[in-house]
Amino acid sequence: MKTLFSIVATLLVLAISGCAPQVDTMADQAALGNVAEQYSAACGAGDAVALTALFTDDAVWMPPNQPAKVGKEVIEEQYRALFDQLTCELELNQEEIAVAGDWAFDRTTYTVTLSPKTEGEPVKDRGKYINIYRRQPDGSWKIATHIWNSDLPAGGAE
Amino acid sequence: MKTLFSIVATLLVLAISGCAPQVDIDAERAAVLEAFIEAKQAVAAKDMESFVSIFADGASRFPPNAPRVTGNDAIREFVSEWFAAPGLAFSFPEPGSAEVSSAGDLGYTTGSYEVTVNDAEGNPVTSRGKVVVVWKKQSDGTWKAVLDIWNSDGPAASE
Repeated sequence: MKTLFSIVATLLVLAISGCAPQVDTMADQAALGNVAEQYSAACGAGDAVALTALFTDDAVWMPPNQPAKVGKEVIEEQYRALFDQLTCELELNQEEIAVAGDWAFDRTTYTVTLSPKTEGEPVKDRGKYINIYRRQPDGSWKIATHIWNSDLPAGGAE
Repeated sequence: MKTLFSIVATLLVLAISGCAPQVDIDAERAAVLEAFIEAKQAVAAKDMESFVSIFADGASRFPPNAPRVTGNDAIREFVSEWFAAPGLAFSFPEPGSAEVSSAGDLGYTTGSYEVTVNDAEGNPVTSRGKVVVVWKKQSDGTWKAVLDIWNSDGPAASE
């Protein structure tokens, strides 16, 4: 009888809690917010390795006015080339973060100032992006797709 | 004792089946991809009503080189200007890909496009680009776009 009760208790726990969402959305929202913070920090530090570490191995990077680039190594080369020439001041404002189980997306606005390391005037841009994130086996989130565009007229800088 | 067994049986059923996903993910993914294909057909046909109807209330578009466009009225106005561009012709060489959430309520599609527009001299210029659309399942079971963003693979001013 005792055994039966413990079976009932176990099943009751399973029936109630097992059906609740498995996802801690608040923690996920915080973790996804943290990705944006790390992204800005890595840009500010000119750290292509830290920045690329935020992406999945097979990430698709979709910049304006260039074909998409696929894979972490290729993405790292892009950032390395950028940071060789320019310093980056990036501000991000995540307007929406939505978690959809094992993936998530955010829509975010950015303002960026890219200043030449040698000579020349800084270039300012502002725009918007969508990231698609993938939950990793260790529970962390990485960027699987990154697409953005400028709010400014084509070729126009502020 | 009989009652206890029936409680155990009920709980067992709940514990096993009640927590299994009720969603047919493959069917939902196919439905999202179909919505994406229909949206692209509407764009290719420059069919204003069909295209505007793919968007959920309060949806946003993230166009290149312009601020975001939010809400049905603003989207309608934006699309009407978009479709009026001289020589505009869209085509979508690939079907694209779709993903849905395990809960079957949120999805996204990615794809590419080819667009031709006339330059200042009236000569057609074709460029390629890429697009991401986020979809949300509506209470009536249809999938509507809540957000889309795209950009050109080509040089600036050829969006």
